[in-house]
Amino acid sequence: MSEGNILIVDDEETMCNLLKDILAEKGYEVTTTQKAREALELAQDRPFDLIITDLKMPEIDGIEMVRQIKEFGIDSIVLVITAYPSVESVRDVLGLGAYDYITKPFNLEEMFFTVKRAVEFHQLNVTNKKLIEKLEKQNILLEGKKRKAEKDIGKDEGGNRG
Amino acid sequence: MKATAERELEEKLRKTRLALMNMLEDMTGDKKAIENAYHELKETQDKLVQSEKMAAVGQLGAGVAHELNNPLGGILGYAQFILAKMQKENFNISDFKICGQYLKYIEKEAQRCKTIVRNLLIFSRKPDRAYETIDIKEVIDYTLALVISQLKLKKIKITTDFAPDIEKISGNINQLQQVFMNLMINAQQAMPGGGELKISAYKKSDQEIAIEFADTGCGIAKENLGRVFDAFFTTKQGLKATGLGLSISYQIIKEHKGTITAQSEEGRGAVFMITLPVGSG
Repeated sequence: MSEGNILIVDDEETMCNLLKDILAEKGYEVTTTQKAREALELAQDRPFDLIITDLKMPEIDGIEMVRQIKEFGIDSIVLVITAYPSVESVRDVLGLGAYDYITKPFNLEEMFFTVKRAVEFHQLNVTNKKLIEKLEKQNILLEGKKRKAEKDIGKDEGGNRG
Repeated sequence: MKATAERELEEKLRKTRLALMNMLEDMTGDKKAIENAYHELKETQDKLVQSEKMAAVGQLGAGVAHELNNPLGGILGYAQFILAKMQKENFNISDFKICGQYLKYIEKEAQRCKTIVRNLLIFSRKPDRAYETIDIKEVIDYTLALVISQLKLKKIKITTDFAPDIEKISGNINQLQQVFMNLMINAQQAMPGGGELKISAYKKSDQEIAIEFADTGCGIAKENLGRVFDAFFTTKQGLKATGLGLSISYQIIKEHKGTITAQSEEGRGAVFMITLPVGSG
């Protein structure tokens, strides 16, 4: 059983390989792509717990990736990595709803910790959503039963009076 | 009577000689002063070139940080991954082979860092005026390696078109690299929303080669076209604009016995063309 599904998008081949190697070893199922457009298609096709995206990429950059992920309603946590951090880019991606921000070069422990936290957060969210849905369904059932019981009681009372 | 006339003539001759000697002495002094002034001017120009180069390196900050931090990310990550693997008790031959592959990644990425640092050092070194026989395509490639990351970050597509028959020229690599860097950075600044920069080099005639930098940027207004090579002329806003980039480029190309011209229409991009004489000089 995998620890979680992760999609990695970085135009740097070595970075894709590194993240795949280290996270696969930790038990995650990892998919990589060097193209942002392909990443968006993959993310719409199947659910990922976490999408790790580079910030500076040709064609679609990390900020646009986060924006489109949210716009398409893709239910994944987004983690942004960058080789050139700036206050503006941190503000932009976090403001758009990215979960966290990691700068290159990073320490493996830092990466593992952030990924673990993000995946757990997403899985908790998913579980939470499922529980709420279950609860709502049970509420509906309960409401139906309550209404039926009230109707039955009404009938009984009417019968008794008659 | 004759003796008096001779004496007067001799005296006149002596005075004239003295005046000539004084004049010669003055002229030697003037020549020395001119030489000193010329020397000072050259020194000041070198300092200007150097300071403009440092400003250009500063403007490359984002690109250089990005260019170095990416391979460093791979190096640090794989080094830590190897260390973690080696600390495992059951480290086996298969792990050993995998680590070998990771070391290859580290080597490849370290080579990338080495190249970018080497190019920066070549570019930043103090100018010497030595001319050598150079392949202009190589100089453009070295310069491009420095700015390519910066240009890509700004969503600028770069294409190069080098004719195979370009002859070598006599020039100063460092100075020409600075000219190309200025033109590349200018093109980048003219295309804030991205665009295309086409660099081509070809044989213009038997005596000269041409190098063109064509961008799809904002272009140059007609009234400014004639002033772009003037010292301290700039239309760029902000502290980074010194207005010296193109005038220094003009000076450098002139010293190389070449020409640099600009063609542009506002809103329709710009083409900077450099011609340089061929031959080993």
